[in-house]
Amino acid sequence: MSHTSNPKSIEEFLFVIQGGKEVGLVIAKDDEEFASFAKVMEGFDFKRSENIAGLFKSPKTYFVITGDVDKDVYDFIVQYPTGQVEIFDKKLMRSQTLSPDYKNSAIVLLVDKDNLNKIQEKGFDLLSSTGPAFQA
Amino acid sequence: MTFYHPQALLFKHKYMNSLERQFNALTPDPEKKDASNAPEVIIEKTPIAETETDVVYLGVTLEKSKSGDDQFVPKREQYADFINDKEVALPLQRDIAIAFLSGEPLLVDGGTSLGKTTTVRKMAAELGWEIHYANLNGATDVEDLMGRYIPNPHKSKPEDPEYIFADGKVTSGLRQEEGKTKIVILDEFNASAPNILIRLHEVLDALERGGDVILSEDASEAVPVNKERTKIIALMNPPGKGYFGREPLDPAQLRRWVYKKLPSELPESTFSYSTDALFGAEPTSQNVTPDMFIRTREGSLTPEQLPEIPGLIEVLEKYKEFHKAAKELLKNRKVAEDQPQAFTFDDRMEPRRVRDFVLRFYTGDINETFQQALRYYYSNKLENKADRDMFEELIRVVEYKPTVVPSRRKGIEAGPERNTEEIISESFEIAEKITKKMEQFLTEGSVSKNSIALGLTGVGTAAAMEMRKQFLTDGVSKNSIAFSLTGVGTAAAMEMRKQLLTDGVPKNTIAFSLAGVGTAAAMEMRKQFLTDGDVDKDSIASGLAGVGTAAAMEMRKQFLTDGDVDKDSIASGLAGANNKESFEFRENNFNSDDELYLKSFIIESVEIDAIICRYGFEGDMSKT
Repeated sequence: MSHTSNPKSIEEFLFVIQGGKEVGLVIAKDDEEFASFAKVMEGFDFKRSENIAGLFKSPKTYFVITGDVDKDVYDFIVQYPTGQVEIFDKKLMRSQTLSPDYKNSAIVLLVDKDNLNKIQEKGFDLLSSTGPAFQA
Repeated sequence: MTFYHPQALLFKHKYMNSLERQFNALTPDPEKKDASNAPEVIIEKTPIAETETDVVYLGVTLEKSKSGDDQFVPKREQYADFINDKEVALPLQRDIAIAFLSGEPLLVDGGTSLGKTTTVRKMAAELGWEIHYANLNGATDVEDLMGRYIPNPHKSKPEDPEYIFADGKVTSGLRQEEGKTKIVILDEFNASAPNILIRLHEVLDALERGGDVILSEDASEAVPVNKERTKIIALMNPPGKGYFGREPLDPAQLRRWVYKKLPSELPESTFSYSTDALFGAEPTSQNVTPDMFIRTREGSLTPEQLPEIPGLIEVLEKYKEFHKAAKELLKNRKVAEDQPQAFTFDDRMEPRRVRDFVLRFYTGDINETFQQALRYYYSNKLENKADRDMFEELIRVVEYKPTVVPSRRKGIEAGPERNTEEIISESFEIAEKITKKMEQFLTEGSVSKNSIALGLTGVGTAAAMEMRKQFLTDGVSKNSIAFSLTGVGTAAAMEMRKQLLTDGVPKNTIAFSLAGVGTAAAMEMRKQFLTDGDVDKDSIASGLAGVGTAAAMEMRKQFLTDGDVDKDSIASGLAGANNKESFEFRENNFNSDDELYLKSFIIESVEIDAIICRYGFEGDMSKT
């Protein structure tokens, strides 16, 4: 469940979430901050992932939510702390299961505040499903 | 090697077994020649026990999968720090195990922080069972779950079909494969679209019938299903209560499910324990009480055997009344008032489930099995503790009370009938005789004062108290004097104990000397020792020997609940208490452990033995 951590900076937040058992959530208040956070994450070796499968390809990854939250993303977030993640490929109708390596990985969702509110209202409770959260 | 007093063995074997057999003809009887055919009762002691082939969750045994590693089986190492707390995690695993064992679909309604999905996956990891996970929040496409035609990704020749049918998440969980057991998790069940719920209920109905699921998505292919091999569990957050988009389900839809209500938030005590356990301040598995276990048997009874269970007819009559009362309470919102998810107690489903529970879990005590079934199918639907307590009172009424046949046997378990006055009068007579004899020894000088002091054990006459005082002045061991007070509960004796404490005699010794004394003052002294904390609780437990008062029984129960007193001490501290309550305590707490049961009749102290030899076994010694 998400809780508002109060690290002094996003740099500190990115350090704190290493080895956590939940997906981290970074909330940007506008486009400018959004871009700034993305840049900081890149600087800390977080690789941007374009899809769910990509989240496991690097020890440190982040995923950007710009519009509607993809159902796959939501499924991923809620399963991540449970020790096993099943990713279903709708095109091939095939499941792939993955075991998170909590000790050596960190995964962050980057979302802007307005979008987050819309997603929450649609019933995808990202705030409860993610772990540590950061907003400046 | 443990040696049992022959009398104790005789007592358990002849007295208790005969009662059990009167009570229940299906109790395995070792004296019967055909006993080898009777199913063996299996009782587990650790909350979760594991063998090469099984995992036992609070007594409920599930068989591990024989197939090897599979991508759908969660990895065990992911759950190394799983906390087995006694309030949520362990009962949840037990109840999930019951549902898996019986093949019933289970719907668990509870807050997001309780770890519902993690718990199911952790059990699957232990059992080597596959997980097929579908989150229904935002899912609108039935075909994702049941399957659809897709372009054939393997097409390499012209004759290969253009399209092939591919299973959905649920269908892959329904397909039977050699050596595999599969769990289908339907997460966020109450966030599902109505068309999906309808389709899933068709699947549930097919599983219940043990027939085929017809895949309308695949030209009506019939997929054989088997609830022994596919387990369905739905999870949901409580509607409302901050969970946006979760509407209450139609109660009529719930009737297909065994519905279990968990708290909306982690209870305070569980939060505290789990946090301590995570930091290593507590073990990762919490101590549990025996009543949390389900006793299981190998194999099930057949429906034809049900009428053979003595007392079943009486229990059934009371169950019918219970069911009506439970429905009425629910209908009038006397229970579950603040639960947003409405539900019913179904007139057809609930009795059938209770019957199946009895078939599977009956181990010789129809009251215990029936009451456990009612807790599982009725109380488990309630969130509020007050509601559960109300149901618990009703459940306890659903019992069979056998007609007690008065024992004609003479000896320790019956003896000649005497009233309390006669017992007291006789005890005084004995005490006077012993006092006189000890005075004689003292005058003659043939026996040491220390031995005479010990010889006064259990004797509370004024002359005996005077002798003790003189002995203390003469320098006789204070510990010997303390031990000699065993069984003496007079005001003078209590005063002497206090003085001995002041003089440095350990509280453990004084606690032990309270054996056979069940007066209010003695109980107060025990409680004070516990409050002070500088006493070995085992001494207090052992020092309850011969006391069968309600307060003493409560103290024993508390020791069991706290879990920090050796059960051996609690058992041996029950010796000499032979009233109805003490036998109930033995049955409830030691019946699964013969050693403890027998120990509860064995006196391991010469001082206590002395009292019993002098005053006999009748009832609670504190009365004498």
